[in-house]
Amino acid sequence: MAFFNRRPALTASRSQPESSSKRLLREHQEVAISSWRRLWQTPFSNLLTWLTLAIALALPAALLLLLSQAQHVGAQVNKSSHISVFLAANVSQEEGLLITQNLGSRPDITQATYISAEQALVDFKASSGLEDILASLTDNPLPATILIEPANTSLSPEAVAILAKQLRQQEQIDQVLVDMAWLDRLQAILETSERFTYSLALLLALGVLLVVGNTVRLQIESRKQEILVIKLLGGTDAYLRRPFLYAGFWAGLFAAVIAWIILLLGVAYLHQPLLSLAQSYQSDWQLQGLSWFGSFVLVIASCGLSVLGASLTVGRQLRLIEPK
Amino acid sequence: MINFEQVSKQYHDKSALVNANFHLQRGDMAFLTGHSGAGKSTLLKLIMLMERPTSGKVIVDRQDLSQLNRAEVPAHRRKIGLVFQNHQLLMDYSIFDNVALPLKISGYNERDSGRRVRAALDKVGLLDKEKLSPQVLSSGEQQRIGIARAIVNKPKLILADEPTGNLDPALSAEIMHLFQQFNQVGVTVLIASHDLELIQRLPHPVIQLNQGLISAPLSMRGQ
Repeated sequence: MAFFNRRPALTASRSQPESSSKRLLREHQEVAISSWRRLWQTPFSNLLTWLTLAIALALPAALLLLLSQAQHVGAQVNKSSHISVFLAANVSQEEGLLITQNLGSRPDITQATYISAEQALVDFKASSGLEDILASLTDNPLPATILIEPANTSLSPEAVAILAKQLRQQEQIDQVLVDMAWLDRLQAILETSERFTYSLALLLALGVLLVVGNTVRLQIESRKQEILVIKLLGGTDAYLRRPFLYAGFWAGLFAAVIAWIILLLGVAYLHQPLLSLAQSYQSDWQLQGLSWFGSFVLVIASCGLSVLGASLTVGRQLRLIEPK
Repeated sequence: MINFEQVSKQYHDKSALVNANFHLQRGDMAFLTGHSGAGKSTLLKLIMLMERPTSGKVIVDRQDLSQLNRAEVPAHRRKIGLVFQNHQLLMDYSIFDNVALPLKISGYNERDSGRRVRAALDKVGLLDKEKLSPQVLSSGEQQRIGIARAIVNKPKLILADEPTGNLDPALSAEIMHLFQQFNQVGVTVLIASHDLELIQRLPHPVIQLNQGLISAPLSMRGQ
C-alpha cells in the first residue's frame, strides 16, 4: 500500500522546508483571510455588533474632540483677558504715561495702554448712552486707566493673580480689576468636562470589552462541535484561539470605521450653529473633524480593545469545551 | 506501542477500569471488546488523554502519558489517528476540508496538504467527492471520510471507537478490511467494537473487557 510508504513522499515531491517564522506568518495570513470570509456569513448580526461598538467609541471620541478644542478656545479667551489698573486721582498724565511705560517693559506684560481720564469719559459717553447725565457733571468722575495685557507665559489664573497683587502694592495705583472669577469658572468647567469625558471613555471602553467578549462567547458556543473535533485532532490552544482573536480584530476595525463616519457626520451637523456661536463672541473658531493622528488613535484603540476583549474571553471559554 | 500497567480509573463511586494490564506491540492490530459500559471508551480516552488514570501507568509510543502536561496534550493527539463511531465530520466543511483539518492543525502548506488529502481520499475510494458536503454521503461513506481524516497525517497508531457501529455487515467488513490494509504497512491499530461476529472472523488478538476488568488478555488466535 503506497499511502503509508513514507520514503517516496519525503524525497520526491516534498517542497523546501519552511522556517518556523515563515510558517507562522502563513498561518496567520490564512486565519486572517478565513475569519474575514466568516464575517460575511452572518453580515447582519455582525453589523449590529459593529454599530454597538462604534457608538461606544464615537461618544467619548466626540467629547474628547470637543474638549480639546474647547481648551484651545479657553486659552484664547484667557489671552484676551485684560487687567484694568485705575490710577489714583492725584497722578498726573506725565506720571501716568511713565508708569505705563515701565509696566510695558516688564517681561510678564505684553502691552500696557494708557487711557487718560478725559479719554475714558469720552469712551464712556459714547458707549453708555448716558451723555446728558454725564454732561451735567462738573468734574470728571473717572480715573485715568492703564489696560494691561499679560504675556503668554503668565496667562494662568495664578500668574495673573500674582501680577495683580504686585500692581496693587504700587502707591500711584488706586485699584486693580481682574475678572478672576470668570477665569476660575472657565478653568473649573473645563476640568470637570475633562474628568467627565475620561470617566465616560473608561466606562465605554469597558463596554467595548464586554460586547466583544460576549460576541466571542456566542461564536465559540456556535462552533462548539468544530472546537471539540479540533481538540481531539490535536489542535493547540493557540491554534483554536487565533480565529477568534482575528474576529475581534476585524470587529474593532469595522467599528472604528463606522465611529469615524459618525464623527464626520456629527461635526458636519454641529458646524453651522457652533460657527454662529463663535462669531457672536468675535471668534473665528471652527469645530475641526478628527485629524489623521486622531483617526489613527481611534483605529488603534478600537482594534486593541476588541482584541483584548476577545482574548480575555476566548481562553476561558475554550477551557470549558473539553472532549468527553 | 501501547502499554497499560496496573491502570485503574474511578468515576465517583464507579470503577470504569480496574488494574488493567496489556501491551500492544508496534505494528500489531487488536480488537477491544466487551458490552457497553465495560470500559472500552475509558481505555481509549486514557490513550487520547481525554482522561487521566486514577492509578497506574499508560505508555504510548515510549512516552509515559503522566509526564505530559496540558500544553503537551495536542502534540500527543496529533500522533494518533482517531476514528469515531459517529464519524464526527463537520457538516459545514467540504469533504476535502474535513480530511485536511489534521494537516491544517499541523501547519502544512496548501500544496503538501492537497496532495496528502487526495491520497487519503483515494485510499478510501472517495476521491471524486472532495468538493461535496459530508451531508450528501451515505453513512458508510461518511465513515470512510472519517478514516481518511484519521490517516491523512500518516500516524503510527490508529484508534477506532466502534467504527462499524452504524453500518450493515457488508460495509462493516469493508471498513475492517481498510484497517487491515493500514496494519499491513506497519501502522498499529486498536479497534473498540462489540461486533463479535465480525471480530471472530478476523485473525487479530482480542482484549475482552468485563466491568472494568480485562477478562481475556490478548488471545493470539490465528496468529
